[in-house]
Parts: sequence; C-alpha cells; structure tokens
Amino acid sequence: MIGFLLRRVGWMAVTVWVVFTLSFLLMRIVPGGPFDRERQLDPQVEANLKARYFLDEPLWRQYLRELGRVAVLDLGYSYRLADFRVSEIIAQGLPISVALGLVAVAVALSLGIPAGVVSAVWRHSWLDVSLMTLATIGIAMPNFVIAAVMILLFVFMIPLFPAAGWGTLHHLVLPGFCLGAPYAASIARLMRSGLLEVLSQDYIRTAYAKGVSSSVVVLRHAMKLAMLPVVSFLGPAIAGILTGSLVVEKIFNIPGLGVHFVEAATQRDYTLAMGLVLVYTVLLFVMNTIVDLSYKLLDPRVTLD
Amino acid sequence: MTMVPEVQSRANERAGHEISLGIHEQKGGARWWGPRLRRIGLIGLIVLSLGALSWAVNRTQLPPADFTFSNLGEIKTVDPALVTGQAEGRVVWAIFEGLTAWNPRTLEPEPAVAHAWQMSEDQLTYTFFLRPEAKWSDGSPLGAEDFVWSFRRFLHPETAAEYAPELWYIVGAKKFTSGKVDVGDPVEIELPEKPAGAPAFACGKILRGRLVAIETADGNRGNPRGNPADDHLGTSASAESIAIAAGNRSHGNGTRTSGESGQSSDASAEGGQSSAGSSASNAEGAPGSSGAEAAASAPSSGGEDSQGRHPPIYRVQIDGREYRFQKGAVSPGTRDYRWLLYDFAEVGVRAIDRYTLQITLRHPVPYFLNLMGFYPMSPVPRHCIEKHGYPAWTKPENIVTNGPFVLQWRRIRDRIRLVKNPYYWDKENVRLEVVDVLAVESYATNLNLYLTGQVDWIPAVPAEVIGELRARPEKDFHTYPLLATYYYLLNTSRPPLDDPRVRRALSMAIDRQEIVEKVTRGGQQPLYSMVPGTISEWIDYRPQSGPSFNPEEARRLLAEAGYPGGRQFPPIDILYNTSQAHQAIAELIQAHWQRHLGIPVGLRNQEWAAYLNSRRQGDFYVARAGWVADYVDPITFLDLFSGDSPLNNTRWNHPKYNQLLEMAREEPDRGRRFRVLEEAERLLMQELPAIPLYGYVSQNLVQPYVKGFYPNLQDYHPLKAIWIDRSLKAFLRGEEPRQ
Repeated sequence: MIGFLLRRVGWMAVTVWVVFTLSFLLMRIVPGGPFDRERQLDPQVEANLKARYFLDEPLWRQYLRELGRVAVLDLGYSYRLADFRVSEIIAQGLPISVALGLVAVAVALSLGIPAGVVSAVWRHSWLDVSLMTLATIGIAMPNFVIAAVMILLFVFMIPLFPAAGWGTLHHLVLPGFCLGAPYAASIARLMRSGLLEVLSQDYIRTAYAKGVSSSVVVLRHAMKLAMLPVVSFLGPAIAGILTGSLVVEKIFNIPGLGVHFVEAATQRDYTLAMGLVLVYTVLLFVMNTIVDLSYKLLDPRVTLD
Repeated sequence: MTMVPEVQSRANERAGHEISLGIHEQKGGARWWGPRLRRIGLIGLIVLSLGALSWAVNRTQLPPADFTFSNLGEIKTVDPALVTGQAEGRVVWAIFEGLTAWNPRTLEPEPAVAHAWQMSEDQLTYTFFLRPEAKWSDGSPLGAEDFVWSFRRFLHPETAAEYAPELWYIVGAKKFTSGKVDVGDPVEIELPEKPAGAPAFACGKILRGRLVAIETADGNRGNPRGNPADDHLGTSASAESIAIAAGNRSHGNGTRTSGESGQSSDASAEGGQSSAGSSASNAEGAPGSSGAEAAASAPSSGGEDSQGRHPPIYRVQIDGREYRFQKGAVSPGTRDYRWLLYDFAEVGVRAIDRYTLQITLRHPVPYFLNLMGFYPMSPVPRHCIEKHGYPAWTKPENIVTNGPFVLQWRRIRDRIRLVKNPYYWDKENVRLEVVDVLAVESYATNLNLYLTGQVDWIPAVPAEVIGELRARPEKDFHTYPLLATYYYLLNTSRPPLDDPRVRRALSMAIDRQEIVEKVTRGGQQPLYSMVPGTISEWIDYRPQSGPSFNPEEARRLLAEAGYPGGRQFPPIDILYNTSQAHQAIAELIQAHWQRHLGIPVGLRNQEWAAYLNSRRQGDFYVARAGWVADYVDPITFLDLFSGDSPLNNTRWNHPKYNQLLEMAREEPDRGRRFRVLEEAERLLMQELPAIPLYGYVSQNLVQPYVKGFYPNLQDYHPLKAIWIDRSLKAFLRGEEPRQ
C-alpha cells in the first residue's frame, strides 16, 4: 500500500515534469507574445517589458529558470493580472472550482445511480425506456446547451435561481446541474449495464434462493460489484468535469479556475497558464489515484499494483 | 495499475454473504481495509466533501452595492502606470484622480487635483496650482512632489509603462525613458545601496553629475583609460545606446515584493547583458555590425563576454570629482550601479513649491489638458509604493488612492468593490456609497444579469438582440457614435496595391451602407474619412472624405490601372482576427469586390496575437483594423499613417504627408492647426493606404433609475457623476424605497 502510493508519487513527479516541458515549448512556439495589442508598443518600451519578464533570453535559459522556480513552487506573477501572483489566483479560484466540481459529481452520482438501478431492476419497462432516452439526450447535448435551456426555464420563466454569480448555495444549483447532467446520463447507462451483468451472476441467484428480499439483494449484494464500471468512469468523468467547467463557469460567471484557464491561453499569460496546467495535472493524478484506491473499497479481490 | 482479481472459481466458492464484505467480518484476521475502516472512510469522505463545499461557498453574503456594473472582463492591474485598456480605465478613473478631470457631458478638462492653471504665451509651459485640501485616502497630504515622483516612475524604463510615449511631449522625457545618455549630458545614477532609513522599496541612493566619457569595452582588462569614442561597436551613437541598454539592464524586478527580491535580483543579474543586447538589436531593427552584436551580447553577471570585453565604464563628474561606474563593477576602480539615466531634474516636470507644478513641453500640444486627465497620468502614492513595492501595494489592505472611491475588496474574475473615499476633497458631490465592478465577459451572461436586475449598466450587448433592445419600452438602450474607426489596411508595398488607382477602386467598390445595415446593425455610420464625422460636433475640425460608393468609376479606375474587368488581377486576401463579426464583414466585402470589380479575393483569419504579428511584419494584402481615440483630436488618427510611426503597418510613407503633420505639430494657432490637419487628411483620403469603413458606436444598456450617465464621444462615464434615483428604483422593482 505504501509502496503503491510512493510509486504513484514518483510517477506524478515524472508526469508533471513532462507536462511542464511540453507546455513550455508549446507556449513559446506559438507566434505572438503576451504584450501584443493593436496599439503597438514603442520598441524601447517593448524592450523594457521583455527584459522585465526575461522574454529576451535564449529559450533554454528561460526553461531552466522556470523549472527552478516551479521546483520550489514559485509560480511567479501573472502577465495579464499583473497585480497577482499565480499562486494567489489559484488559491482564489481552486476552492470554487472544486466546490463546483463536487456539486457536479454529487449531481451526477445522485441522479445517475438511482436512474441506472431503477432501469436495471425494471428493465424494458416504460420507466427504463424513458430514463435511458433521457440519458442519451443528456450525453448528446453539450453542457452549454443544457445551460441555456436551464437558464431559460429556471431564471426567466420560473425565477428560482440567479442568472450568474457566486456567493450562496443558490448560485451553485444551476451550474452544478449543467456540469453534472451529461455525466449523470453516462453513469445511469453504465450503472444499468453493470447491474444487469451482476444480477445474472451465480451468487445473486444463490442469494435469491436463500430467500433474501429483492431490495437487499440489489442494494447490498449486487451494487458494490456493479459500481465498478461507474467508478472506473469516475476518473475520466472528473477530468471532464474539471475541463468542462470552463464553459459553465463562463456562462454563469463563476470565478473558478476554468475561466482563468481559457483567458490565460488566449492572452498568452505564460505564467498563469503554466501554473494552471500543472495544477490540473496534479489534481487529475490525485483524483485518479483516489479512484484506483476506491476499487479496493468496493472489490477486495483487487490488489493494487 | 493492474487489477488482479483472484481466480473466479475461488471467488465463487465463498458464496453469498461472504463476497459482500461490507457486512461481515473478513475471515483470516483484520486487514487494514476492513469493513469498519471502509465505512469510516466513506463517511469521512462525505463529511470532508460537505465541509469543503461549505468552506468554498462564501457564506458571508455581501450587502448589495448601490450601483453595480459590468466591466466586460477582469482588469490587468489598478496601477495607473501599467494600464492601457478601457476596462482598467473605468476602475482607475474611479479610484485615482489626475491634475484635470473630464466633464462627463462635454469632455472638457475641468479642475481636479489642480484647481487652476496657467499656460504660457508660446503654449510650451503649463503651471498647475494644486488644491491643498486634496489628500490621499489615508489622510496624508498630496502635493506637487507627488506628481513629480509619479511622472518619474511612469517614465522610468524599469516601469516599462506602455503609455509612456504619451508623456514624451515633455522636454527630456523620451531620453529619460530610453535610457540613452550621450557624453556631456547631465545624468543621474541610482546606486544599489539605499539611503539610511529608507523604506523597503525605495530607490537606491541617487547621485547626480555630468557624463564626461564612456569607456567602451576594448578587451583591455583593468585599463582605466580606454578610448572613449572607440568604435569597436559600429557607429558610436548606436554603440553607446547598445552599451547603455546593456549596462542599464538593472536588477530586473527590483520593486517586486520583498519575498522575491533576493531571488529576482540573482536571476536578473544572470540574464542582464545578453538579453539587453538582443533587445537593443530589436529596437534598432537590425542586428547591425557583427561587432555590435558580439559586444552587445555581453556575458552574464556583468563579467566578461565572449570576446573578453567588459560592460562599458561611465566616467561621471560629481561635485568636482570624477567617478567611474560599471555594471557589475568588474573592472577595478569602478562602482556598481542600478540605473544610469538622463537626469530627471532636466526633464520638464518640476515642483515649484509645495502646491505648484510646472510642466514644459517640446512643442505645443493642444490636447495637453485633456491628457492630464487621462487615467495613466494619475498620481500614485509614494509612501505606499515604497513601503510595499509592486504589486503588493495594489492589494486592498495596502492601497492608498486619491480619487472619489477606494478599493475595498477584490475577487479575481468576479468583482471589485469600491467604497466612497472619506478623504476625497469633493466628497459631497459623490453620491454613491458602494459600487461593484463585475468582471463578466460573456455578452449573453451580461444581458441575463441586466434583465434579472442584478446589474445596472452593461457596456456591450450581443449583436443579435440589438433590434429587440431598441424596441424596449424602458428605452434603456443608448447608442452614441464614438471617436473610433473600423478600417481596412492596404499593404502598399505589395503589387497591385502599390497603385493608388487600384486602392481607390477597391474603396469605391464597397457598399458601406450594406455593411452597417446587414452586418453590424448597431446604428453605426458608414465612414468615408479616417476621422469619424462626429468630431465636428465637439471641435472645429471637418473630416475630409474620400471617394464614396461608385462601382462604375471603380471599374474604370481598375481598367485604367491595367486590370480591365478584373482580368489578371493578382490574388489578394483579407486578413482579420478570428471573430464572427469580422468574418461577416470580410465576407460581405469579398462579395462586393467580386460583384463590382470581378476580382476574386481570399479570406484569411488568425488568432489575435498571430494576426497582430502578421500585420506588423507586413505579411498581408488587406488587413482589418480598428482605432479608438485617446483624446478628442484628429492627430490620434492621422499619426497612424506618418512615415515613422511604428503603428503604420501599411508601409505607406508620403513625404508631403509627414511634412504636413510636422507643420501641424509646431503650429500654435488652434484653427490653423486644424486646417493643416484637414489638408493632411485630404491627402490621406486621396492616396488611401487604408479604407475607412464605419465608425464604432457605444452600446450601453442602462437601467432607467441610473442618473448622471451621459453619452459622449469617448464612452466616458465617470462613477463620480453617477447617482441612483432610489424612489424610481423602488417603484420599478415594486419594493419599499430604502433610505
């Protein structure tokens, strides 16, 4: 177990380094720099700016300088939001994105799992068919379309929620739903197929034969194993939620990391973009490790490697 | 990770309840992942998530602000010296105040920190009398010395202010910013050591003297008497400037936060010479002689470069004695320095006494008083900046400002909260207590927030709904023509665009009316002159129009130029930055040119920064451009096409035009100056290196209970003038009026 975790940490360091190098190269290769504006800078002023941010140094030197600073977790200052350090921006935005992500995951699980279970248990009924159709629609519709529909319904037609912003639990509901809905749909389908498969196993038949009631069979005996595909899906789902939050955060004006990510890319904010990429890498890695660990919770036959 | 489930048959042996290990104790001893731990783990995870959730969701609900508006994006910074955007301007104008302020209705400069001023006969010297009751938001007094210090900081090369050229009208300012010094100049030298008792981020000790000689690197180690004018490096002028640029590459982010200062100075000392060398060669435009490059690409840490040369040594006479200064002080007998610049005491900004400021210009600038009210020219608090350094001084808990509002609280990409400044000299006339500045970018979200009553003003709307917004019974959608032009640049160095007849033909074949009616639909006016026509309502200038829409004449001109019916016209394309609006316009113009001239034209779109690059490098035939005036004067447009302007991407360089602009610059009489500029614009519209298309309009959606909001040419709406009609607001919302 400890060995597993240590190895994971080691791999994470390697992954982060590779991501850092690739991002660094990609960002520098693209033409244009962070100070490009319609109004061109006087060459002297531009030279001063470049010197201030070390952009006039040879590439390898910039690379080593950046690597050194990242190694001591000094991510520098944002170019675009010049008043803030990258770590400050991340510290402000990360809890918000994580909160939004949590709500989305909660929505996805709390909608998807019951839907999947209901569909599987009463398979081929009208309930099953309608739920699965809804799920297909949820997967097919992009989350900004869902967002637009939700805003129309619940902000304008039935004024229940605020149109945008952040601050209270009220503000969380719509964005959380829009972010989590497509994944709820996928989870429902996975749950359904997983449960169907487990319910056909021998030990389930034995349980029924022993006279265990239907609900106990399903909820206690079958669920854990049936959850495995869902749990496997959680890894990419969390990745998707983290990246899909870009759109939702923009629509609902939530000051999370997603907006920073997009803006950093389009505005050539080297330092912020690099910081965010690294944070996302670490976050995804950690989430995937937690998901892997949770396999053990569900199926003790699993040995972690 | 590999999952290794045990062999299926063995698993099936342990039938029934034993497989479902959540309930029963595992046989064979407790393992760490026993059921109890799992249960605890699961519950713990849920509790943790809920805790994280509630912590992340800000429980403290902010009391609503008096006035909330959307700023269309997060601002870069609140430091006036470092901003250039309109969004930043709105915030800086709210929390800082300059010598003058613009009247919200007429845009005329009015007294602000300066209660009166005098202009000399030759219009070169301005004397401002500051009001003693103007104070900083921590109660400390504000005087002429603050302005001198602020302008010095603004012009200092270390600040790298993007708007620095706007102050180069002042005597000596450009030289100060460029960092160039010539032998015989008065210079100031900033030493690495600070004076005793100075605050953490103050400048180092400053010495003033006269530059006697420059000993350029000559490979002669330790030789104090190098040949000052030695021409190893190409022309002596460029040698000195390269040398200075190299030598002056200071400890980079010296005024960054204290936590970083040690690190950044190490880093910058490393990078010093080579980077400055390459930056200098960029500034020169070409690498110059190989000698220049080699010397310029000097070593790290101020040591030796590839050819054993040292950074140049400056011999300065101070108080009768001669001292030698060298970056890094590698040669014996030299002292190290941070900056060696043209003496700021020679720059035309002077504090005559505590509340009198005098500014001397190189030539008359009719819009100088407007310029003094422009947001980058605001004073900044020396005591605050020297104590905290940049950027820590901009934090809400540290910042000190002098405008009608102060910065109370800030969440990135969410909102900035401003409250009324209790020390503001005119605070009786500020009728808002709390203002929220939202950083919402999406036009659709902005509109949603406005329609649900959460914001009171949005400065931009989605183009698709303009028609419906106009039809609203509340009449809250205001458009006003701005002093801003949308135009197409033509690369006059590429045939066939080098022929003025072809350019005129292209211009005459565009139906601008169709563009503004079908595409932009915001009430924009088609433009046939570079300066928008609305300027005549504000000043005595009449924009000169070029040719209007005339397809037959266009065809005739094209035939005359050698391409009858568009035959054999070389392929050209239109470059624009990726955006639906620009694409729609480009497609329409492409259709016009095809229809009326018979020439096939391609379309090319690039992302913003790449597009700017292509424009600057001349890698285009036709490129889309836009320009917003900084002050109400035609020169801001006409200067774009002068031969030496770095903004002139058209490569059009007309001696007569440059001459006219020069004449206008020197002309003291206002009326005659405008006539000269009109002549210049006439010439511009004849030659047409750029084709004006339409003038921008402001599109503001303002709640009816917001008063003090006036449409004007620059879309300037200071928060100081705005107030809320509470009873109207309550009435419209069906609420009880709040006191």
